[in-house]
Order: sequence, then C-alpha cells, then structure tokens
Amino acid sequence: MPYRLPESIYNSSQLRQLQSELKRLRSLRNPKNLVFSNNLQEIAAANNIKKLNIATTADLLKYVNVCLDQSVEITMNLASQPSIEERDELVARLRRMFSKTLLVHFIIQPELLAGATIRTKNNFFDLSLRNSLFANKTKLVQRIKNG
Amino acid sequence: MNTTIIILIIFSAIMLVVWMLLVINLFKESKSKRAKRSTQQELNHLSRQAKIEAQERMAKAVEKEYTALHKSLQTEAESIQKDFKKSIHEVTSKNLKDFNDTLAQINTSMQQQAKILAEASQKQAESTQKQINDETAKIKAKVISEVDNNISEIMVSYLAEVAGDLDYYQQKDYLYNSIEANKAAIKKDIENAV
Repeated sequence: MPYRLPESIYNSSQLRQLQSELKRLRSLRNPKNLVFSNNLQEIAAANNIKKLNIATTADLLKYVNVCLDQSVEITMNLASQPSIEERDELVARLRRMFSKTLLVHFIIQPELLAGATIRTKNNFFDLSLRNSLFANKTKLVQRIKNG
Repeated sequence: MNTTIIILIIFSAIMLVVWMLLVINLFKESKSKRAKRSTQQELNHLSRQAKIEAQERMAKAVEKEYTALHKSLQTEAESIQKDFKKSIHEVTSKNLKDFNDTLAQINTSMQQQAKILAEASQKQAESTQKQINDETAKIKAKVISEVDNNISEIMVSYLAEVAGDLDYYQQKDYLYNSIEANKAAIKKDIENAV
C-alpha cells in the first residue's frame, strides 16, 4: 500500500521519533491502553489506517525507514513564524513542487525581512527580501534619483 | 923701495887705464840708451797713431755694416710683418668660418633637439592629461558608487526596518513567488541529492 507523509510530519527529527515509536510498538506483545503520539496519529489518519496493529505498524515502520533513507531534507529559513496551517500549506506546496517525501527543517530568521533561504545538500538559495533589496540596491538608487 | 914704488906706479897706471875704459864704456852705453829711448818713443807714437787710425776705420766699417744690417733687418721685419699679417688674416678667416659653421650646426642640432623635446613634452602632457582624466573619472565613479552604496544601504535599512513587522501571512505571496521563480534550480538540486 502506498503511503504518504502528512504535512504535519515535515522533518527528519519527527520521522526518527516516529521510527522509535513504531519500533517500540512492534516489540510489544500485548499492546493495551496505548497512547500514540500526534505524529503517529497524523500519519495513520493521512493513510486511512483505522487501527494500528502489528501489520500496519510494520508497514508504517517500513515506510518511515524508506523515508529516512531516501528523503531529501532541506533547511528553510523563514523571516517569520508561520501558523500550523500556513506551515502545512507550505510543506504541501514544496512536496508538490519537488518531492513527495521532502523533509524541511525550518528555522525562523527575522533579519531576512520576508521570503526565505533554502539550503540543499549542495547549494544555497537566498530568496529573501533582504537579499533582493541588497542585490538591487543600485537599481533602487537609480529609481530614487530618477524620481 | 923703488920696486915697490914702481909696482905701485904700474898698478896705478893699470887702474887708471881700467877706470878710463870703464868711463868710456859707460859713456858709450849712455849714448846707446839715449838713441834707443828716442826710437821707442817714435814707435810708440806711430803705434798710437796707427791704433787711432785703425779704430777710426773700424768705427766707420762697423757703422757701415750696422747701417746695412739695420736696413736689411728692417726690410726683413717688414716682410715678416707682411707675411704674418697675411697668415693671421688667413688663419683667422678660416677659424671664423669653421666657428660659424660649427655654430650653425650647433644651432640646427639644438633646434632639432628642442623640437623633439617639445614634441615629447606635448605627448607626455597629453598622456598625463588623459591619465588624470581617466583617474578623475574613476575616482568620480567610485565616489558616486560609494555614495549610491551608502544611499542604498540607508534605503535598504529603512525598508528593512519597515518590513521587519511583516508577518508570515503578509509575506506569503512573496515567499511563494520567489520559490516558484527558483523552482527549476531547486528541483534540479534536490533531484541530484537523492
């Protein structure tokens, strides 16, 4: 069954926690009165898993392991803190654009003013307003001079 | 006694004869000396006259020779003076001509050098002026650039201050647009990283 990562699970740290939780669940012989983490509940809901049993837990663990092995994580610095909905929307958009299992490590950096910087494995993309202003400051001055 | 007297008389006679002979001899000698003295005086006189005459002749001859020599020397001197003047004139004329020629050459050379120097100075001045103009333009451009940079820094700082209050919602469109604009490059990089 093809699974998908919910937008609420967006970084490798969450995946590793999920992996630990799933491993712990799989090792339990008599799972009773278990309290699941939000991430586990989210991924189960996102994949229409009504009940976590040994089989589904194993499948989810397998999927999480694959994600941890193969997913690309980017570091994204944002100028301001998004709400949970806004963050989820951003993650969804990024996954549509780049990869279904893309992981994002968010850092809030107000000095960027607006926009973001994205660091991938090999490159750094500065999409911030600050960079844009500094990059175009000559044009800015010319526009001011020309009225 | 008689003998003695006779002897004495004889002796006296002998003595008288001897004395008379001596007197005669003395008289002769005196006469001879007197004659000799007269001849010597004459000779002296003649000699003196001859000497005077010889001196006069000598003086005349010397005077004559002196006059001739003087005349000859004067002629020679005039000739030498004439030749000297001629030589001096020739030498002076030649030297003057050489001097004038050399002076003319020096003048020509100096004029050429001056012309070359003037041209070089003109070129150097033009080159220096060009360099000054270039440097001035560079400095002007640099100063303008620095001023522009400062202005832009101020403007950016101002905008940063203004934009600092933007919340995520306000900047969401900007964020999405900027990601969209760089989508291809980011996607390529992510695909390469897989």
